[in-house]
Amino acid sequence: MNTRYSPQEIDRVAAEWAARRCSGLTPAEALELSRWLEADPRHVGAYAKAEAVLAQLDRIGAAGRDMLQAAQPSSLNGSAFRRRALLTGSVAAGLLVTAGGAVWLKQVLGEESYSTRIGETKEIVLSDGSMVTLNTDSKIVAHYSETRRQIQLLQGEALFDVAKNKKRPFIVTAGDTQVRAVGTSFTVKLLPQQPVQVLVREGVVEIKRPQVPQAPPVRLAANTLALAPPEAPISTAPVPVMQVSRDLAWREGRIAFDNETLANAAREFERYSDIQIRVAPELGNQTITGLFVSNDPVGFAKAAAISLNLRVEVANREVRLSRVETVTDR
Amino acid sequence: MEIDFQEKARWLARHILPYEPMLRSRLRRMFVYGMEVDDIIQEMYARIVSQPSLETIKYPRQYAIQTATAIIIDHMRRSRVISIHTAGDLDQLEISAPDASPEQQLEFRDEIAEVARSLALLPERTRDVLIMRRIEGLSQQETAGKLGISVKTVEKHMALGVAALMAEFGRGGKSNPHPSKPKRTDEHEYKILPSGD
Repeated sequence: MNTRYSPQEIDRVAAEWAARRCSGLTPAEALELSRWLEADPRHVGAYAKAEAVLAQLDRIGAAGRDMLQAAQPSSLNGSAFRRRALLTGSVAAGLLVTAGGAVWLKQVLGEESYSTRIGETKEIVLSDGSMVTLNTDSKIVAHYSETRRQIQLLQGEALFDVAKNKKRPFIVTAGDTQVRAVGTSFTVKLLPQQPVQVLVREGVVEIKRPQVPQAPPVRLAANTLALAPPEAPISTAPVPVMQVSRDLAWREGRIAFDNETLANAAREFERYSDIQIRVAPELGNQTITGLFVSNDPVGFAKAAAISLNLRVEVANREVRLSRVETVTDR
Repeated sequence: MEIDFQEKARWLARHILPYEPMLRSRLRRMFVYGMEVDDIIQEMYARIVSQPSLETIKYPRQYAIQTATAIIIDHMRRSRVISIHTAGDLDQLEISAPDASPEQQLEFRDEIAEVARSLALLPERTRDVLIMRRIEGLSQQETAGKLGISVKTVEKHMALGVAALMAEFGRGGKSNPHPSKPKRTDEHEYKILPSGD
């Protein structure tokens, strides 16, 4: 094997080439670039992405100019100087709005909303780098400002992995309950007819209910569950670490097996969907280990088939696993 | 191999770059023995950009997923080592492909937000250079003049900025607040395929 450069090193070299290309390549440099590209297909991929990054900036520059012109056709047309001032100021500050323009950018950046359908889970990276995992039938809206990151959980359940930023606390509101974090990981659940539930996995969060005077703020440490029933104080209870992590594996839509028999694994999958896995009786004691997607029994069966060299048949709402004599390539 | 990168870059920026975080997040959940997500992504771009015509690709997101899947399958065949996770997840990777119709294109405002967010994370001078050169469309000399730096320094910031954005655009966030990644060391998570005949 050749010396393998890391993907990051290759990206860095590709970025240098893209920057040089922008300045204009001499024939000698152009030759050097094509040699570098021919040396490894990964160079081609990295360079393609570097050029795509530049093209993306160009697209946005062009769109921003169009949007500004559409908004104020008469005053802005031909006013290259003003346009430039607007764009530099606003984009550079990330979120700031400068004199009279670039509102489009502010609007674009001000709010993010996400939802899942029944049976769906979704992993979302928010614009500050925080990650939200939405469970089934859930909805959140994120409002970001310079001083705070506010998330409203409108329904359902979400796991928040908060990017640390002391200057911008991360506040999740669910019903009348506010959960405040700086950098931590926790879930909030808002289901009909149930108290708001907060489970802390890492760090510390503070729970407040501004409109419920009889419920003073509570600080929650890791591996603690809090319940906030209406019109009553918040109650908390420690939760064993193992249970927390199992709970979160489930939230990622996973099932973990450690040397589990096929028969038991098949039974476990039935809890998560209406597709049945039928294992031929003589195979029931074969074991399997791994992490699987809970709502994908067919994927599990196929994996088991590859791993244990079995035959898999997918029928309507049923998957059958049985012995096979020869390996067939697909 | 002659590839017109600049011509294809616009298409990639529009149709592939915005889906890279989605693809990465799915790939991260898989365990491809001996292959990092970064390797797969680089190879995916290489394969796509090497296509003679990109305009004929009707469903780019689906195409990207299929390309990544093909790369993983090729790799599994070459190495003859299979992770049961990988095999199980290969389907998962493809599962949402059919709904990748053109009208479900990521909204452009989301793309702008992503770019603005990424730019905001850059060092100030580097950010100024990228904005002036690409978003405002100033020349190298104009940029150098406005910032009072040399043309060579402009190029240097350009390279730094592009490298940083390459990392940002794909990862959708610098920090990795990913909940506990399952370990990939467990011996029996992998199985050597019987040598095929």
